[in-house]
Amino acid sequence: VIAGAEAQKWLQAWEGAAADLAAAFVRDPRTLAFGATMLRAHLAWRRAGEALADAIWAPFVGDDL
Amino acid sequence: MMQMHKNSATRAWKRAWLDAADAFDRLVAAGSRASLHALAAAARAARGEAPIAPVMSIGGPASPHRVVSDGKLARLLHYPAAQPRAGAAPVLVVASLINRYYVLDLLPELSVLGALNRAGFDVYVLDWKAPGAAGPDLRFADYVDGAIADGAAATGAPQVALLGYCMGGTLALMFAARRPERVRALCLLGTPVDFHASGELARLTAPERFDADLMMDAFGNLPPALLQSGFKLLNPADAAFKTAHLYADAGDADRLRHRVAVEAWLEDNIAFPGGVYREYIRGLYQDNALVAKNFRVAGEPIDLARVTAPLCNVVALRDSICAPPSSRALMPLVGTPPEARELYEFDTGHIGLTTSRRAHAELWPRIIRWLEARA
Repeated sequence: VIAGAEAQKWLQAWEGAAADLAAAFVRDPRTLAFGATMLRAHLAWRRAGEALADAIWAPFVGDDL
Repeated sequence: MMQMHKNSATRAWKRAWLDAADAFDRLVAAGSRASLHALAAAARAARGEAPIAPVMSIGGPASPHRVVSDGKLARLLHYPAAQPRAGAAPVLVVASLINRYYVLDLLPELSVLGALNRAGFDVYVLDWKAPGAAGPDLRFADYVDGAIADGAAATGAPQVALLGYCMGGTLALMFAARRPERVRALCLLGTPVDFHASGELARLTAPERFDADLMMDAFGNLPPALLQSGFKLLNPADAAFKTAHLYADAGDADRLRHRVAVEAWLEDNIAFPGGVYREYIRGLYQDNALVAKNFRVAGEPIDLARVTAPLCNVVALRDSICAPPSSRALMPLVGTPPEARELYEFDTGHIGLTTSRRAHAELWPRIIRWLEARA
């Protein structure tokens, strides 16, 4: 439990600094580029996995799906 | 664009999953709400105080209402005025497709819908349903020409006053452009129009970084968890401090109840319909087609100059979801006579427009006076 105006002031200052630092990190173009690459790779792998699953199942299922 | 194979095992599995996922999302939202209540109770107990009560009233609409109709995409709810204003058009509320509308009716003392009722307005609300397996095939036209038009017709009035919030404002704006004769007044809250000016979300969804089609090919609809992670990137440190804030507010039961109500609402999202998401990201965020006058609904371009109803455009100055320039850009684009265009700028965040005590004390009385004069 946080008590006292002084503690509140320090907490706010710490929160502000942490928020600025976190925002600067996630908005850095390198972070954005890395995140975009990871997302694209994840989705591409997922698509490939689904294509493989479809190919495996295709002989066993008809066109009525 | 790669579509899912027409007849494939994964496609059939995905369609089944999309329906199941909606039920799962409801469960997650209920779990988050229960966790928040438990954390709040623990914070109160640490101070030797009783839990905030009654906890179950938080997380759902606060004011009395009835269900008018139960459509494919939305339920239409009616919040009746106790003493209706003579000749006033009913207010039709269009909330964002991805958030629950009850942020406008969060707590009895912080209810936009309740305030409108007290001012004598009959209020109708579109309570969007989770899209399920139909989501990948849904388009803007289904919402603008379908659900909103049906909702307006179901009020029984020749014209409605439209109140749109966030993406719901963009939908309301499109309806006002396509059916101007049905709109008596248009009030928009935190509504993105110039999507290239909408701040961090515009950067995150830039074409070189983000492929909406690839995403929807994988998921069908955008799951709330992914949606949440995108919003959390806007203020990444917020999540880390939320528990600390609950403990800091534990001494003030009203403040704590307010915080729990807002946080529970934030965790209660609906999946973004896949087909609409493709149009939204490609057409609006990436091509900025609404401003360029080539965003098409049912094959016809939306021309904002066809909006002729009196306009009240409310901008939150600390909005990180819809940056102020994105909303302000609407003012010169509409066909409303200049003397009937109002731009209200208020120092709060996107959600503060409807949930902050200051907005209810200072902003909403002003908006209601505007509606009284125009609707």
